[in-house]
Amino acid sequence: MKYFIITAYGKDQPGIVAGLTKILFEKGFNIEDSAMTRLNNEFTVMLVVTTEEDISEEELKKAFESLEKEKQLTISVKEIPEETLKEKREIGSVYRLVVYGADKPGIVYSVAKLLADKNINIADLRTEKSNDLYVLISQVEFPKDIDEEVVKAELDRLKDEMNIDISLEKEEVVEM
Amino acid sequence: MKKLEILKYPDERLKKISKPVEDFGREFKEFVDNLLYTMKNSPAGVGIAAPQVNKHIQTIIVDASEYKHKYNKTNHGLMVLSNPRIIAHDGEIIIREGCLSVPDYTGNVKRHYWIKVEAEDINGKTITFDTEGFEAVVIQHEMDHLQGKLFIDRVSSPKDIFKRKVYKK
Repeated sequence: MKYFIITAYGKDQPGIVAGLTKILFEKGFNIEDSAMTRLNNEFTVMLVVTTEEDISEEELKKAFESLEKEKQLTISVKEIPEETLKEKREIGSVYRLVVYGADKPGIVYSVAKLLADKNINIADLRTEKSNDLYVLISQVEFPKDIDEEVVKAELDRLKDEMNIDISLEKEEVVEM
Repeated sequence: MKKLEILKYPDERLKKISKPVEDFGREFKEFVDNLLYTMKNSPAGVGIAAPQVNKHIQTIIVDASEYKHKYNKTNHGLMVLSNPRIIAHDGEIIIREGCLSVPDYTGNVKRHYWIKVEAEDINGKTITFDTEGFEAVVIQHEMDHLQGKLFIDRVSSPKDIFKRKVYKK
């Protein structure tokens, strides 16, 4: 099995996803995980794909060439070693972090730095800005040995310093 | 007692509609014992429905008592409910639901906040009670299984469904 990560972006228009997935389908690829969204007027695509075919990074990149020209996209392809993909990390709890406030420089950076300093991993992060309200929503993974109260205290400090609102909530998933 | 095999989506048998329970005899009680054992031996298992183990009868088990959750303010402990009917409801609540039959995803689902339920207890006696919050959600989730519905059928947008990015050893 071969694994690749593909990114593509370009001016938003109908047919980007259809164009990309047609090629993948015809070449015998499976889409394992993906995120595709419009950011302002750019449409961006990130895909992790797999195949049983013996195809190289260059060959796959070539397969996208005509689409790149036709839709004026920027497409990149990288093979991922199987070991990296299957790597399992031990993590503690998963939290949902929401930050919002009046837009100002450094919101994302100050939050991300605080997390990185505590060895907290970001699994997902999105930001939106409308008029003057800035919103950041993130799913973060705490390491096993961390004290929630310590992180909360630091976030509180940041909250006052930046004059923003921050909420951190443990994601409780119940099996039913 | 034995742990029963839990059907996992896309198993078509999860989509079958379950039949009402009429016989509350020994065979039924033995099945309930095994169903309870299966639920208790699943991590964070607070509820289970008979069709999840390929028995298409309208029986659910709910036990919200051992689970700390911000919306778990009141609960009735362990309950075995057959032929459950929601006879009144009020309000709305959204919590993140996971399902033993859909192991790779979780989802935010909108449910009634308060419900009044009529059902048959383990001996077939009709009971009526009302509940709210977390326990009400679990009951509604399990009742959906009896109709062949999964929580995925209830999420309102792709943003409300989450792949478990957590890697467990």
